[in-house]
Amino acid sequence: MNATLASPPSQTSDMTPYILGRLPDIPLDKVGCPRRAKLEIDLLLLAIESLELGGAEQVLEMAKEMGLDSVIKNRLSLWRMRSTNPLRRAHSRRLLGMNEAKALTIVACQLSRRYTVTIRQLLTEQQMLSSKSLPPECNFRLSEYLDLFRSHFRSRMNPRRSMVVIYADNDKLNELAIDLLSKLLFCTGTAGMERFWVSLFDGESK
Amino acid sequence: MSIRRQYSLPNCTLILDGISDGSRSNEVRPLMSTLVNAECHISGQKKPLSGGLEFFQQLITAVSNYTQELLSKVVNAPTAQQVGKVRLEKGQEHRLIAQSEQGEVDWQLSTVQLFDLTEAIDQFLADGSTLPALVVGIQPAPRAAKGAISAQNAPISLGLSGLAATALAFYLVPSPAKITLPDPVAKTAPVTKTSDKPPATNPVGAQQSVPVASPSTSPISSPSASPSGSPSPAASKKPVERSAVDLKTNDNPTQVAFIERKLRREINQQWEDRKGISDKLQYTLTADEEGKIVSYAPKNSVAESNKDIIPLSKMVLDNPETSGSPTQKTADFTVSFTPNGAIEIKRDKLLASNPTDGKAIADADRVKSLAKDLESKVKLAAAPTFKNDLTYRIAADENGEIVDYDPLNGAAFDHEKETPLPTVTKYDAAAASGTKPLAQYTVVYRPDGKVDVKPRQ
Repeated sequence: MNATLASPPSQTSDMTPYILGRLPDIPLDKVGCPRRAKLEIDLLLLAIESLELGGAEQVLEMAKEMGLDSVIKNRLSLWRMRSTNPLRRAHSRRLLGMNEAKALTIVACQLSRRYTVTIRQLLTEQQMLSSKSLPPECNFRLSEYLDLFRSHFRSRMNPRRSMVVIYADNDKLNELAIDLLSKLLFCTGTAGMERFWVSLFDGESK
Repeated sequence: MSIRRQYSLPNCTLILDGISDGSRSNEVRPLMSTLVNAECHISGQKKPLSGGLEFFQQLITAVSNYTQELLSKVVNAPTAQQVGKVRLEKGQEHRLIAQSEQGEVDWQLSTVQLFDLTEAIDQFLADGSTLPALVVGIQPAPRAAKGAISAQNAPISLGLSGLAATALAFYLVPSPAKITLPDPVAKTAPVTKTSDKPPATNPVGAQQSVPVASPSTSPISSPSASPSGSPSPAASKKPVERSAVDLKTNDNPTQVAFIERKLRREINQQWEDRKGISDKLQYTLTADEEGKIVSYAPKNSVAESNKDIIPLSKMVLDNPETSGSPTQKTADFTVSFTPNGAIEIKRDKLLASNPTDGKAIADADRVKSLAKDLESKVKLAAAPTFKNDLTYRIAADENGEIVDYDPLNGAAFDHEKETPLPTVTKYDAAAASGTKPLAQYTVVYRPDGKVDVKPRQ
């Protein structure tokens, strides 16, 4: 009885949620996810939060719904995982494990499906405006999304990091927000989850 | 037995015609084992792309590879997006180039169209009863590909070191003793060279075109060439210039909402000729507590060239320093005039809280007796043309003066001008700020000409 208490790692491996098997393990040189994966997952979640107020709560709810609450236990553990994003103000040098990354990816992709219609509308509007060389602010919903994304991004990312410095410019940050929106669109697809997951490791696998 | 399988999405339809070998013919969905013809329809394109098995295999591999590359910004392999006769590359958004039976095709796809194409293919790949032998693996690019991260994704250090190197080079160039104006043709060469640099500093996903032309996109700056797309520095001329008075921001939500309604109302009244607009015109405007326009400025380039046909120039205060009170708090709005004659007004700042209807008149009997007075005041002057009920909220002060109204349904918006409301409403800044007690009513105009005024709960 004591043995199970003393060895949490073996306990967690026994309890690995079945759904994580939907995403393949990627053979890597190092332990933990590469830098780009940590960054992309956090930014994708940030984009989801910008689609609707209260998006952060939904991550926890969805994790529970998908049976992933053994990996994403609570608000604190979610925050710790997301803080592995090197751009964050509260960046920690902690590793992001394969299962943690998988769980976040599954939750993000499931959430993106809820917003399929919104994402499609926003991207269609954006394309229409850019073809007329009009700024994205011309569309109310699009500008709402961009406003929210910019404020989320600026409040959480460390402005002294060189990669964040570029985004002091609103246009640049809008571009990033639109780029994330198109990633979200691909996440809503039949194979979207696998596609996004695999893309995180492009150029990193053995 | 011939079978047709179709995968339909809003912007893309994939139609596969094939034959079954009869092995699973008893099942509801027999197995398609041989492909005869594949057709790929994309919305907006008259003819579909079509071809046999080889073409289809190339199409699904190229689209799948390109999608992965789009997601990761890592070029899988230099030729991954080119599979046989099908190629995808970055265009204005995305370009699909293919040699099909009908000749060469070169399509511009939007991101949503590309997604629908990928999704149709993914649905096909997930369908076990259609050509199960055709498989496209999704795997991460190996480590070697990391060096091939596309140029737009290159780290900022590259841009910075480039800038430093250029700065050093310019520092070493001796300053010319006499400056001669070179002819425009000779000038293009060095200027375009420097404009190569900005893309290198672009971070993630720089492909989306920047809507407002930035200075770097107009490489030729010869005196004769006029950059048409770039915002002209003369965007704010004298009458529309932002007031120099130190204005304070109005942060009373009730008042801002009130001013917004007043602006919509007045611009709606003043805007007469609603034709001749081909694109949405956008202006930023600042209004004072009285709901008067202190200043406005065009927000997009079409707005700049069309500023004579919109009513703002008539409505702006000539001299805000004297005619309005400079101590007044102001609120900023974005107003848009659309080609179909509609006006959109948006607050630039989020409100701190929800706007309220202001203070209520406590005396219930007074509210009831006022309703009778109002009924005669808001009566229709002519026979109505509308077919549905028009519902408005109106607010009246203790003297029975209407100080505010708000259309509550779509028909009420459209037929506002048929009602006397725009003319009988008197703006009152004290009522707007929520300090004066008001009585709130719901007014319903019925298509038979009857008017209903009821106190709101």
